[in-house]
Amino acid sequence: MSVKRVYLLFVLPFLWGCEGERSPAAPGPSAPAELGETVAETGFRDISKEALSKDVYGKVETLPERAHPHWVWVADFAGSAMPDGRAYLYDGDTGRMLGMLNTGYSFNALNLPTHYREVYSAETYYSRTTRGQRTDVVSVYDPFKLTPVAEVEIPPKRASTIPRLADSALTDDDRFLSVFNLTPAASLSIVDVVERKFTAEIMTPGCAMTYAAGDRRFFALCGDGSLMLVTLTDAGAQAAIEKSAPFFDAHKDPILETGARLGDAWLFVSVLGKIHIVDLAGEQPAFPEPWSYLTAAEREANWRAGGLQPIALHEASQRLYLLMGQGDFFSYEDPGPEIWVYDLKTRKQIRKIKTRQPSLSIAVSQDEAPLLYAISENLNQLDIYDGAGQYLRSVPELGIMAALIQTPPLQAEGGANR
Amino acid sequence: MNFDQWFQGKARSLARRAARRGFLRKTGLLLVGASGAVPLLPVARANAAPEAPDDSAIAGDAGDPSKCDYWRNCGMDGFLCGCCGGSHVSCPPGTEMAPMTWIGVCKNPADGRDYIIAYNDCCGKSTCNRCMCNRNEGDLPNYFPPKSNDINWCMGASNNVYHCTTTLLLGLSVK
Repeated sequence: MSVKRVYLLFVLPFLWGCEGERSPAAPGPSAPAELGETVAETGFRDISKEALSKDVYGKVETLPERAHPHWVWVADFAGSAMPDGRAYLYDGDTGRMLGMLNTGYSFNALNLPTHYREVYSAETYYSRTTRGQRTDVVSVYDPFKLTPVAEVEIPPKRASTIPRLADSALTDDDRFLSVFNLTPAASLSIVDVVERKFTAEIMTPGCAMTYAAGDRRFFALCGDGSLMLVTLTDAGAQAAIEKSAPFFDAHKDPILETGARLGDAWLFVSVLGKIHIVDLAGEQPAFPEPWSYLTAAEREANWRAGGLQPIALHEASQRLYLLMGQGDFFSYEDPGPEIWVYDLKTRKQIRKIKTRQPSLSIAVSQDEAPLLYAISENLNQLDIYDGAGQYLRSVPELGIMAALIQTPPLQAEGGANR
Repeated sequence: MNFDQWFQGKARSLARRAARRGFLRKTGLLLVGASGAVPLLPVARANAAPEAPDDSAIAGDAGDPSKCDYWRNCGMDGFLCGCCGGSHVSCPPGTEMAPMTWIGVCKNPADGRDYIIAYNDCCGKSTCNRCMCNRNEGDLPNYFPPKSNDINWCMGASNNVYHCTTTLLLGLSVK
């Protein structure tokens, strides 16, 4: 804002209150005489029409309508001020903040459709911030203007957790959004994001969270080590629910909630050092033999994947990134001082990256020159590396208590260019 | 200590290196109902002899309810209500105690016996942000809610806005 314009904004109300005084006796040593005269002659004017300098009043930025592959969303659950959840958009190439969304109480993460013409957010609000009527909604935002464009009310049952990406999911065709509920009865709220309507609540007893499993399917992970496959009709109603056989031991070697998607499969890391694969290519889920991401020596030294978002996958190169730390069995949510990189084709570890500081969440962009992101243990800094682990830059003052990282999809329309 | 300080300090100073930001302790069992009825879940059961030795018999922080190292806090993951206007067994004024919670099993250093502790959250005001305490044994991922301390148990109250957490002694654990 120019000096002239600042002057005008503050002086106009003063002059308005000085009827009869026609002289430009405005306070302020830097007040230009011609400006004072203009105001005196015309009274209270619409300064938005003034052309006092090349600065234009009222300009609000919008983003170019195609996401850059190095844009990065940071989900902030604002743990010390939980009604004030936010999602920030940063430019990973410069560290510059591009904008933000306000996303309500106990925010988890956004859902980014492949078309990226809009983004979704499952949110909880109270009419008096911390009291009054609770309303849960799926908000629809313009990803370039960063404004709300629609909302769909859902049952006020949305799970409040330390954030996990799997607290909500979109079907592969971007049509239906699934929101994890916990009251403590577990269920999914299904929203048709095209028709902008809530279509069903589907009970998932004994199972929690939600993962995309095709155009009309989600699955939830179950406390007995199985998964529950939920199939929708084209109208978003429940078509079928089926539990699988157990494929992991939730007590002896639990898998962590955040998975990595690779085609029709999901990869999950276990606390004791295995990669579990959930293959959803067929009608029934298949569970290929898990493989170890630790050598015997590494296992002996108590290395394990951990953190809030411990796994990231660069799909084109099939590079798997695991956030790694050392500690006992129950240290698996501790910050990790290293990121280990694996080639999924050979299942061999190809690199160890020492992070600038212990980190709690990692993600990688999907373009040909990927950036690797890590949220620091104090949740207030994003460290940025290239895909090979070379440190590039950090974003300080990241947020209130940033938890999760999301990158825009590359495909089509509003999606990022490769 | 606020959340941020806690996060910064936990990996360095806490015995458990609790990097988690959970609400709940993992040692929990699902408690249903404010009456304190304990379901017969696999971890432990309460018997009819809930009294533990007086805390004054315990030396140091393990006997001080205002400290994270207080013996009942072995399953704590949250803000200590005693720092927020309540106490380790009561909620601050104007809040509501959640009827559902997780429970932990903590060893009393005075008599060496294990007691069942209910970590009822106090709800209805935003986070107290004082005396964050996080000790992480037995926590399981969120697909096993009765043992997950990353879930906000204020979901069982009339308002799910999390404020702080208490430590109610339910009884002696019989394993």
